[in-house]
Amino acid sequence: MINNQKGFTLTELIAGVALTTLLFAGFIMFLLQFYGNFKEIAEYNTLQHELLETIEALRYGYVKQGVNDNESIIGLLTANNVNIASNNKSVTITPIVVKAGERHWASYSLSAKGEIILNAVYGIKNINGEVIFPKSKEVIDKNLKYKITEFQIRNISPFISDKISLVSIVIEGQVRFRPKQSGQNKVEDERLNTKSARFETKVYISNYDN
Amino acid sequence: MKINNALQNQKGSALIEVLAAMGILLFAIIGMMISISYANYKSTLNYHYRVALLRAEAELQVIKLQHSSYGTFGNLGTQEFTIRSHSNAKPIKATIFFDVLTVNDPQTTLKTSYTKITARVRWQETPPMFSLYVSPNDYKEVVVREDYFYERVQ
Repeated sequence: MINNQKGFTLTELIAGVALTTLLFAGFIMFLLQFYGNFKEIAEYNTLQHELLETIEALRYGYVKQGVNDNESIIGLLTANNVNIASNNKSVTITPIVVKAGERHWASYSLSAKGEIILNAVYGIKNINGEVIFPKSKEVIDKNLKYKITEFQIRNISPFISDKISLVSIVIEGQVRFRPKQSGQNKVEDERLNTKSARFETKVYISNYDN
Repeated sequence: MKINNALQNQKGSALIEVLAAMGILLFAIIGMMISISYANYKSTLNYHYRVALLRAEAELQVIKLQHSSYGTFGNLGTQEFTIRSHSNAKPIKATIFFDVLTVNDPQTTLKTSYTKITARVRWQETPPMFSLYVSPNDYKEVVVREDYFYERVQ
């Protein structure tokens, strides 16, 4: 057996190499697909998480580590006065207790690029153009990878009053996994290359009549 | 000497060896497919939990407004709504139930009572692709509760 010097014929070699290449190519493609799928799931989770964080910032206020740790920027829950822009894409919130001569307000609005931007004044300090959604600045097809596709803040107060007592928040975001492929129409592009998440809630402004 | 022997070995692989190698590879591929399916299922489930939680919180906020304005809890009838993961996903029917229970517990306090308002959101999830057994009563549920305290009339 050890002295057998027969080897392989050319046909056997070609068939063997072709089959091995095919097997490896299939396995590598499967591995790439597997990695891509996991990445999509992780990115979709990030979208959900950041959208929820944005809703919570609107509800409770915004704190940025190292910037306003001890001075919270107000949210809807403890607001006294809420002003909603006529296009329902921006809200300005003011609290009850304000020291004489000090200004306190926070404004959350949707930018043209699909970000949620915070501008706020708290006492003698302010915060301008803070992007609270998205955390990532990654761009795909000249658009943000994570972007807001719908942001609606509405006054749904059951009473006729000059002050808002109940608001509804609708926020919908989209993550783009890859650029639009040639030959894909808008529907196919959204179905194959993006994923969306939509959250809705309501907030009672308990200090509205103070 | 050993290397020389190995190089001269013309034996090849037996059918059983090839089948075993293929079996191991197949096992790994199936494992990876199951893990993807499960991760996808968990991600969707997570999204549904968040939607349900926000809905339950929204209802409690409306009840709080009713209570502080009129002293009543308003309409606490069962409501139905739809959860949709994304625009192409199959909509899931969810139901929100409310429970109201007034507690007069003399062991806690003689002067205070409270009313428990519980909002319970329930829906049925589509099982993951590789699940072996699907229970017809496998409902998912989110429960949130708010207590309203008041002075007890002696």
